[in-house]
Amino acid sequence: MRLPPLALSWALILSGLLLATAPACELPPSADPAPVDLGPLPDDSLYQLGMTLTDQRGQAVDLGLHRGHPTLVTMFYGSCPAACPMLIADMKAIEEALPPAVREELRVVMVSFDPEVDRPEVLAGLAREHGLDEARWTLASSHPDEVRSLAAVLGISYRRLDSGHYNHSAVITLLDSQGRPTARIDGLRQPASPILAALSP
Amino acid sequence: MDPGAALALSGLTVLVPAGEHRPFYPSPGQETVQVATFAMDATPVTHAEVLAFVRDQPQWQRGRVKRLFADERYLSSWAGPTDLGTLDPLAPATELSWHAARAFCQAQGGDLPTVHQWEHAADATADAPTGARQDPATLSLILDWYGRGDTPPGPVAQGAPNLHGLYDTHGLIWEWTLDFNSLLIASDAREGGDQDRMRFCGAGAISAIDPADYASFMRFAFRSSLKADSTTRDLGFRCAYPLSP
Repeated sequence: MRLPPLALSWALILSGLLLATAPACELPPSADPAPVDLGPLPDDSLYQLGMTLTDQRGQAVDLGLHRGHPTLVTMFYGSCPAACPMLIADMKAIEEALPPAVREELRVVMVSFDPEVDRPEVLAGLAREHGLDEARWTLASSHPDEVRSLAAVLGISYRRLDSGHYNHSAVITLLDSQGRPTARIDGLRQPASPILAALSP
Repeated sequence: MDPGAALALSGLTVLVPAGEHRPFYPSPGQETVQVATFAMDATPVTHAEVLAFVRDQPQWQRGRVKRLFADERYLSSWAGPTDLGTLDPLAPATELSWHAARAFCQAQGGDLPTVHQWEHAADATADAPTGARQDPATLSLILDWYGRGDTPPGPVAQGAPNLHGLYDTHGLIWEWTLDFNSLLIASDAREGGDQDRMRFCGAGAISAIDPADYASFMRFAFRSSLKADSTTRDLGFRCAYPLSP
């Protein structure tokens, strides 16, 4: 965690690539130039799901690709007309309220309910449209079965409507560096204080 | 009590014919859904069946299961990780989380039934494919069960089956569904309203078709109170299976 930023992002890219093929719960092999010892994955970590995502670059990555960093996780769908841009705005507002050093460490993962529509190029377009820092923000889709499990552990309700839209609860969860939920915000335009407090040094 | 019936019927699968289902909480503008024919366990999954499962897949034993996948009450009435103690092997298995119930069903080639599948299957009366929700006898069975208090559930298949051959759909335990988290109702409100616009994306909360249907309301309220790691002494499950192509 105390590495120069460049080495760290290189380590993350590598570990992300390796995690995509490695079985869940195993640390990536020592090809990592400067391995960060995070110890065993805790039993209550969301990363125990071993969930595979497809990110906005079309890369297969593990949900725990940002392990080692506090991470905001939320679920959404890209074609949502009004509410989901608000969700992104809420998360950007959290970032902006943080001291720069804390913000640098924070990562954001947004997982789509809608793998058919939210293909990598669509997610990449969204990231550009909203001016997201893609070194720290991951927009991703996954297999519907894995989406269901993630929603279940995050306590997010959702259902697909015949119109192709999704009715879902808007929940932002803060995971600690090991993937354990430490704070959450339920609803749009809610006070960010629980998450800001948990992130304050 | 007839343990023979429980022994003969647990593990048996029946066919639930396709039908038009009127969800208790319909999607806006969509009063009915079409449920395709599927297969379902005739009874809730029993302790004996779960015991065989956790022997086969030790990662689901009490003490080994990851905390993410089950809360601390997981199988806590068992005498040990592979020991039922004094529990009736033919009583429905409870104290299992959604993750564990799914893993069990997937190991049998199925999965948990969806809410629509479960409600469609359980709406059958003894002689008709729908009507249990309006049936006074079913309601009184359910109300008796609510009043049962802390008594552990007895063996499965002690009552009469419904038209599809399903036992214990009402009056023995609550049952997990695959999409228990598909319902966006606010707190315990029976009707949707503007106050939830800020909680939900895509559409507002939804309204029940028949707020007087107390038993359905309780089932949906119970489901929406659950988390994926929840385990309780009166929450069990049965599995659903797609028909082979």
